[in-house]
Amino acid sequence: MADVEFIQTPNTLRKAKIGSGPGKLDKNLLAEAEKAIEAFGEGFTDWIQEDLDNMEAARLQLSQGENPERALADLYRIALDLKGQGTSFGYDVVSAVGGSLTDFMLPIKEAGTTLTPLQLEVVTAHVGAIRAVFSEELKGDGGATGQALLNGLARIVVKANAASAR
Amino acid sequence: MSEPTSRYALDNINVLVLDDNRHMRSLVQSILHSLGVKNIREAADAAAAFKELQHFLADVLIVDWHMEPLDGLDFVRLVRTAKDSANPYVPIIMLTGYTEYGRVVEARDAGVNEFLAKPISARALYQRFASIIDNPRPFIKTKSYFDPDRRRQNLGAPRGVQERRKDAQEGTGSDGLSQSEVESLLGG
Repeated sequence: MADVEFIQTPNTLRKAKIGSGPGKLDKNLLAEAEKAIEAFGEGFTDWIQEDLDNMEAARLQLSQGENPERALADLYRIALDLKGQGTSFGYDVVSAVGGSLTDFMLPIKEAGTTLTPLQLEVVTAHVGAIRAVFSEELKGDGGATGQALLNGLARIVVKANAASAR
Repeated sequence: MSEPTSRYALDNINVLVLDDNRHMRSLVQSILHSLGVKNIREAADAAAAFKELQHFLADVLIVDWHMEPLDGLDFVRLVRTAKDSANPYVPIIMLTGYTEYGRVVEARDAGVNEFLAKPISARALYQRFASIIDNPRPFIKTKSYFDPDRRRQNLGAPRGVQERRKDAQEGTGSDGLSQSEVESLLGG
């Protein structure tokens, strides 16, 4: 079987283990790391502002048909970042809205089509929902308001997808 | 069952973090520092990271997927197969918001060792390091394939994954995989 080669690489990470057998995660280090995330998250609402402004700018460009491919890519990237960051910093609804927006936008982005007015409404609603989460400080699951926001978004996504399928 | 007696010492390993989002880079750095990692370099794009690897002997790479102009997968392929790659075998943790079946398979086939879904937690990142340290994998090289060997634990995909695979083949369904389903696909 000369076509298949198995390469046993040197274990350069042996130096990162003391003792043998499965290691134990150090609870104190984990607690420190969780604290670091918490401390980092205290500035979240400030440093996320730039992303929110860029998101709004991209949405505006889309609504005006200005460089739509770039605007769609920017909006998607920011939504993906928000999806990945919200829950880490106590804003589960931000992650959920970001996830809903990326799921909605991915097929449009991959197909390279321009947004229909209804699809643009969906994007606008998501951007507005993210702003509302921060302005209302809807932390955690967002309570009844957060759930109402997510349910509302889910409904318009279904409506827009059904219209696109027709 | 007795408690494990060995422990991890991350203070003498070198880690390179590649992410185009500076806040994510800072967050990952903060977590790594807290877990004891002292030698961390960061890069905002794939080209800069590849250049950094020419003189920084990284033991582990943490790579974000969604970047431009080269994305995380392009970077992984570059590290694994480029003639001038400083270390084609370096363990790679892919950090991403993508957890759909097709995407995880794509990452696996590009040569990713571990997959860490965002939003990240300190425990999840720590566990990925533990997995890489405890389970060093040989590489398989063929004319068309150069990846970490995943045969050690070939248990097949869990039921949920099988259903998603069917969805992916039929072009339906976009639900993300759970971390355990991802690990099963990666063979870890």
